[in-house]
Amino acid sequence: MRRQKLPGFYLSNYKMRKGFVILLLITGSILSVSFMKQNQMNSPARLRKLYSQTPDKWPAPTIDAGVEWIELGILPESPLEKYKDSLRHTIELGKSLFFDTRLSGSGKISCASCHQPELNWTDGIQRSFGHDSTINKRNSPTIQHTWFYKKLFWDGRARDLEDQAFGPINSESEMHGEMRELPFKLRQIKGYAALFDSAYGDPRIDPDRIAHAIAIFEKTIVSRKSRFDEFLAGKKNSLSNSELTGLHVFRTKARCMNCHHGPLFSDNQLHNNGFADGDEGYYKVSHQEEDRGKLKTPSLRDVMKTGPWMHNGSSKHVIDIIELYSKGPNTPDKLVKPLILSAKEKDALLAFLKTISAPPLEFKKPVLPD
Amino acid sequence: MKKLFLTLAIAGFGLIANAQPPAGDAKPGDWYGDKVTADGAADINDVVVKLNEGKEMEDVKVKAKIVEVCPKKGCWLKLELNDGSTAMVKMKDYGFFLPVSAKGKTVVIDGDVKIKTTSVAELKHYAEDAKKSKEEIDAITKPEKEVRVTAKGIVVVE
Repeated sequence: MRRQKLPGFYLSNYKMRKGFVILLLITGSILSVSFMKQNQMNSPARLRKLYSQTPDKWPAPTIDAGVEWIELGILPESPLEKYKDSLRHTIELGKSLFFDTRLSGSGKISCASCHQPELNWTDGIQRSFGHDSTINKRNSPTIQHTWFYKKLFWDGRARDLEDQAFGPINSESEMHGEMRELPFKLRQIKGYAALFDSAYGDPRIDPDRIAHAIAIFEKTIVSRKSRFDEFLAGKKNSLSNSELTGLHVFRTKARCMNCHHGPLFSDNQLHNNGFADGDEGYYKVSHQEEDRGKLKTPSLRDVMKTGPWMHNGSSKHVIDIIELYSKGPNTPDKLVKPLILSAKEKDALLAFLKTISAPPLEFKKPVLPD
Repeated sequence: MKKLFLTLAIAGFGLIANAQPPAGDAKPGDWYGDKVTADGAADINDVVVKLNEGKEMEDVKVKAKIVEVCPKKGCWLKLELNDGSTAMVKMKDYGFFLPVSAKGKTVVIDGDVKIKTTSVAELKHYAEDAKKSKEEIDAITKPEKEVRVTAKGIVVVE
């Protein structure tokens, strides 16, 4: 029956059929050889060998021309670590202020309401509740490694942490306080005079000192070392094969290193990664069209612990973000392009992100002054 | 000696304030925060009259002259009112800042306007903080009503 239907193919052109079969065999073997080669190239054994070397000998990451990058590395300590002893009184004062709800208009909200030590200094919800249960505009980011950032807030509108500290206190939708009136309010709490005295050498309370002490305290907050740090420190079996594959995909095919590089996995820049969702981002500061939708590159340290993700907390699962990056979100930023990752590669990436995430360091909350 | 060391340590970590308001001339047409137009703006004094009748005005456009800009960060403004007092402006969500050159300019502000009352006790304390004389402090006998504006966007008109 079939012969009758397709006589040409089966009967009349035997030579052509033979040629086709040979061609198929050749193509197949070339493909399988290159596949095997690719497989060997990225075999767990080979990756383990490559990445067991010092990072300067690792395979080159996939990074576009013109991007200045730094290799991944062991978790750095806060630059304040060495001065912790001489700054201890300022840190103590800042810690009290950070946890004191009396800084807010309602007396119910402190900085720590949205940056909770137990939740890696986030609040674990999409967007924080501010004054009078107002839902805030953006997601509360962790304060771990804030010493690192050159610009603060998701849209980079604050130039330093002291400047940033004024924001939530003064904002009508967050703490609904008045930095201008805060020195007066704090003077009613007797214990603060002594704290300011020890920190600054005299008991004067003013907005600059309040912001400074909070900033100094915040700069001491860092992550716990993760399994990736153990791996870098020489414990080579601390990453599984899948996690190692994830590290390789992170550095190469998934192009993550174009923005998430260095020991803190951030380039300290602002980008429109395609997730802006109508947020004007840095455009509101610069009024330059090219800055529309640009938001801060967050550190990926402890990323699995700091969800929901993105500036608006719109992503509930990290794998969804990987899926979207794989497809290629819509953005004018040339660094973001379709990756077409396999299911295995996506899983490996997720596995790797877990290795750079750790529970928060032990933290003792302050006893607030009366 | 200990105090000197403390001062040095603190100075090394930036109590010398380096934050400053944004640069710029605040020319007519320059805008800050949300982009707003001057269309349909009411004189701030007309809006304040309505407020005195007990209303809280949300999402209104007011036209007013800036008489003061926060010299440190550009994060608050004071507007001229025709009764000789001023209205205090803060930016919504602490979302944007103005250059000090905006002082003296007439602007249109899109935002919410309300009246905040400060008690006599608070006023006296502020006066003490500001090292005012005893006579000046004693002269404070009635609560202060202040017009408050939460600005979403501001455009310079003249």
